[in-house]
Amino acid sequence: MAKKAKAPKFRSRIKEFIPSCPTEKLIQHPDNWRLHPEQQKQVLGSLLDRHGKVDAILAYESAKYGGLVIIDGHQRQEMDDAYPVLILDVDDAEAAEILMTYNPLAAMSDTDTDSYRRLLAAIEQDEADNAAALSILAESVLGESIIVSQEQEDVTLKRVEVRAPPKMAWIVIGCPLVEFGGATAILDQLQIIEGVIVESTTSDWMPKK
Amino acid sequence: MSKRGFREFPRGGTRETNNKGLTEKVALRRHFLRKYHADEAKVLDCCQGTGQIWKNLRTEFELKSYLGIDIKDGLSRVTMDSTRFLTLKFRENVIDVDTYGEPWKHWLNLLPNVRQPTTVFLTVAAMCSMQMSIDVRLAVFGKDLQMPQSLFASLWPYAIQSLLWMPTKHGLEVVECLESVNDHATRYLGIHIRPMQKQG
Repeated sequence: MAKKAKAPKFRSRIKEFIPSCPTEKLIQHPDNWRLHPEQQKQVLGSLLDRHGKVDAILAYESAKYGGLVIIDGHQRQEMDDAYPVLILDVDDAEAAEILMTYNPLAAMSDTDTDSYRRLLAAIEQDEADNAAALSILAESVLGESIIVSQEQEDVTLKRVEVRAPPKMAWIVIGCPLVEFGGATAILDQLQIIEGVIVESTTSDWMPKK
Repeated sequence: MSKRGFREFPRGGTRETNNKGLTEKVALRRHFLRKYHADEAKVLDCCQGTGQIWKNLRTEFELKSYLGIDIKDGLSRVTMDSTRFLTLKFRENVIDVDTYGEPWKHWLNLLPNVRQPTTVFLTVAAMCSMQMSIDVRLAVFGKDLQMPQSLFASLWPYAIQSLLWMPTKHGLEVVECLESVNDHATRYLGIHIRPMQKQG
């Protein structure tokens, strides 16, 4: 006898899916708080060129605003004349709450950088635009600047930060071990001071005369 | 040190060859040529050797000029010490220092003579991390600082930071600095510098 399927723990709020909804019908949420810089738009354009539309805009019907209002996907609306849309069965208050929580929740996830690097290395970068988009995304995920080569050579160009060197003053402490023992305690204390870098060696050394 | 004032390479040790890291080196140069020198690239290849890097690139890019220099006879058009060449006024805007050893003397010599947007490629061999030449010590510490060799090795990251910041002391700004990531210990750097824009 077939096992009875368990009832899902959480209810679905999706009431309709429109595979190709004219984006002019969608209304931007008046309280949308996310700003989309030009660079993000360029990256999205590049990914849409490469993969097509692989997700859907979230929207809901609002009498207050007079139509289908976007909860998530304000930038995607501007990218094309039609876009897949998931219509949620929510009211204005719930929509506002989802608008507030949806993206920050995604941003809370941690990153397995090794897996990400493996994925990055496996991608064939055959177009300059795609390489630029991947570089920007990789930079935002890995927290370091990376430029993906445009060639199929698996070469990564990493940005080197050029900044003013710290102002340096040198204190050289010579501590004859035989007479005074180790200087570890002094060095440990110095290390606590912010901005102080302690390098030490136990080699027996005298300056050249 | 050799009689001509150049550090001798250890015999029998692992030594960087021209072909090692060729893919990474070419990719780095390709990026900067496309981005900054699509109109005009005048290349000065300071340690030409067999010239493999630029042989590859010359099939892809139309260079305005190419001048190869090497201290060894017969390898290049000009046989001379390229660190001395760089103390003169040069007209090239792409300077390649793919040296076996330390590129910093080239770097320090060329900076006062940069008058136009210029890209410099530096190959920093692993052996550099074990010792610090007097040129670098003078440039970074302001004096020929004496200390145990092991301390110099620990100070290399700060020294490189200072060296890369050095253009600002010559009225230049660093527009972009990239490193071509590779599996060996040698670092391949590309730096685009230009005269600072005058305010007002």
